[in-house]
Amino acid sequence: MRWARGAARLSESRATPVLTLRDVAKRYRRRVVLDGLDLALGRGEIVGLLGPNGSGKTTTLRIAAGLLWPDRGAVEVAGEPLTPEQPALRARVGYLPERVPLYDPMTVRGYLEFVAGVRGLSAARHRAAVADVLGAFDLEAVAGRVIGHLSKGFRQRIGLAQALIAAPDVLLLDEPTNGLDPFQIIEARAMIVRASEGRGVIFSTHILQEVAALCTRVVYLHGGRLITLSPAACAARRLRAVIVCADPAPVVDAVRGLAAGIGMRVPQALGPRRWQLDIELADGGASRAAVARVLATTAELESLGGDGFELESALEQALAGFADGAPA
Amino acid sequence: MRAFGWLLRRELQHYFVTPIAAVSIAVFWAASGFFFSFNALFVSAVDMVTAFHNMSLLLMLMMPLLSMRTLAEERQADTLELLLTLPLGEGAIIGAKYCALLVVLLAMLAGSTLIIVPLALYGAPDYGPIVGGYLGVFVLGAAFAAIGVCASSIARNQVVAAVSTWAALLLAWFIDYAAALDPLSGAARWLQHVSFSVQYVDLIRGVISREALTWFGSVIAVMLVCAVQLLRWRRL
Repeated sequence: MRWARGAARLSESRATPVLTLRDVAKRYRRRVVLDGLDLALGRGEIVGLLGPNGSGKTTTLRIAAGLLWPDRGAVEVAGEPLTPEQPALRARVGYLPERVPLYDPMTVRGYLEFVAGVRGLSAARHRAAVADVLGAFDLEAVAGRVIGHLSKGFRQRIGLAQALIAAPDVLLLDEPTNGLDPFQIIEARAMIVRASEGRGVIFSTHILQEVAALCTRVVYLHGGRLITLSPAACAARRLRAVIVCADPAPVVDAVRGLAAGIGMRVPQALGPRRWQLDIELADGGASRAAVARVLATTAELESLGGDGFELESALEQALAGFADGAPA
Repeated sequence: MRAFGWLLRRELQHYFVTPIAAVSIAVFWAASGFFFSFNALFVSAVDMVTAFHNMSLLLMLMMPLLSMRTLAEERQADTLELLLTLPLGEGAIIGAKYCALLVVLLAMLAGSTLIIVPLALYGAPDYGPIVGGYLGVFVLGAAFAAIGVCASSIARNQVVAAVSTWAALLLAWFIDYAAALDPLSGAARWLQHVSFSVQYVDLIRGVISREALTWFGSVIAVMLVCAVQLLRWRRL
């Protein structure tokens, strides 16, 4: 799939940030929303952006997407400054706002062709890019239908497809599972994991399970600044996944092949073609994302969570510390 | 440039795939044809100056309805966030939307040229002033559209955008009435100079007036620059 960055890109140094926000400040009239925010996002990272309502999560994402300009500070995409004079650089950032920006009278294919066109894809890449995202997000069956007639789940998929159509380096998602039903949430999470291959992802959410299931790093917006939660709070040691496939052996091999210390129990059959995998991680967040990616690409990933939800409880404790005014 | 083309194409699609353009163009053709026929049959005024005057008034009514959606609709539908995160400058966004409006305006005027047919059949019209008159009405409509785009870039609501445009157009049309208070003053001369109803008189008579073209060209430029600037301020 073209929208998923290749393995070669994945092997690039994660130390080189694809997105950097440096000393970013933003105020709306007298209200200071961001005050000296710093963030560096590496390739392959999924960063969960937490914070109470009005803490500046959406503002942070809008500044990173080039939709808003900061009052102070700088934004860099792959080392280049994102400025009003360089609109072309915005093509390297995919953005899905909280309310999916869709033209209801257009067909799904027409809309994606339009986004591919204005994002500057050449005529040769244009058709292939549209076909890729239609396939990747299971939109082929509705490609000719008018967007206004589609369900919220489809609209969310189209939103993700438009954000990824130009294969951006950075993907920004503002509460991407808001308003979806549980099945759609599972589906959206799997899509986010797949989309993270070879690019940096930031998504804002209020849902701790989501952070626990997806993120390699968790940051919390507190008083206009970002605070990275302690690695202990972000490191789930055990994962439980439910996959759908005929034979789980290749999936088990692929996960084991990721790192030496990864342990796995014998897959338990939950039904015809449904398997439960219990995975013991070798280290913290990075392996977690890698495992999730392998599961999502080698089988149909039905669900993914931390066994016992240690991560959730650790996050809850960390966030309770912020509520008391004491950072974790 | 390719991105501009795609945006222009989407705008045109929106006008021509939905009934917006079809209804507007049909109403303009029907109304301009009706007024021309009425004047020819019942008032015995078979001249294009009256027809151009009626077209100007029709455009004053219709252009705000076409322009009101340009940016206010994007804001209402949250698609402005998409446009502002695309690799496009604000000038390209406003430019594409304005060009699409001009295409609709051209289609409106092109269809109304049918009224020249009876003139050609039963008389010997001088085509120079007719072409000049059409150019004048086009420039006037383009100025109306630019004011509408600017109003739409301020308003969050389409109805507010349309009503604000009507208010601005009425003010620009009748502003010279205030000159009657002190007709010989410098202010009166200035009011007559900026009034649309004074400036367009030469244009609809088919006279290519440099003063009128400069004035309407300036209005268009200022309004579009304001719209671009307002869009930029949304990022602050």
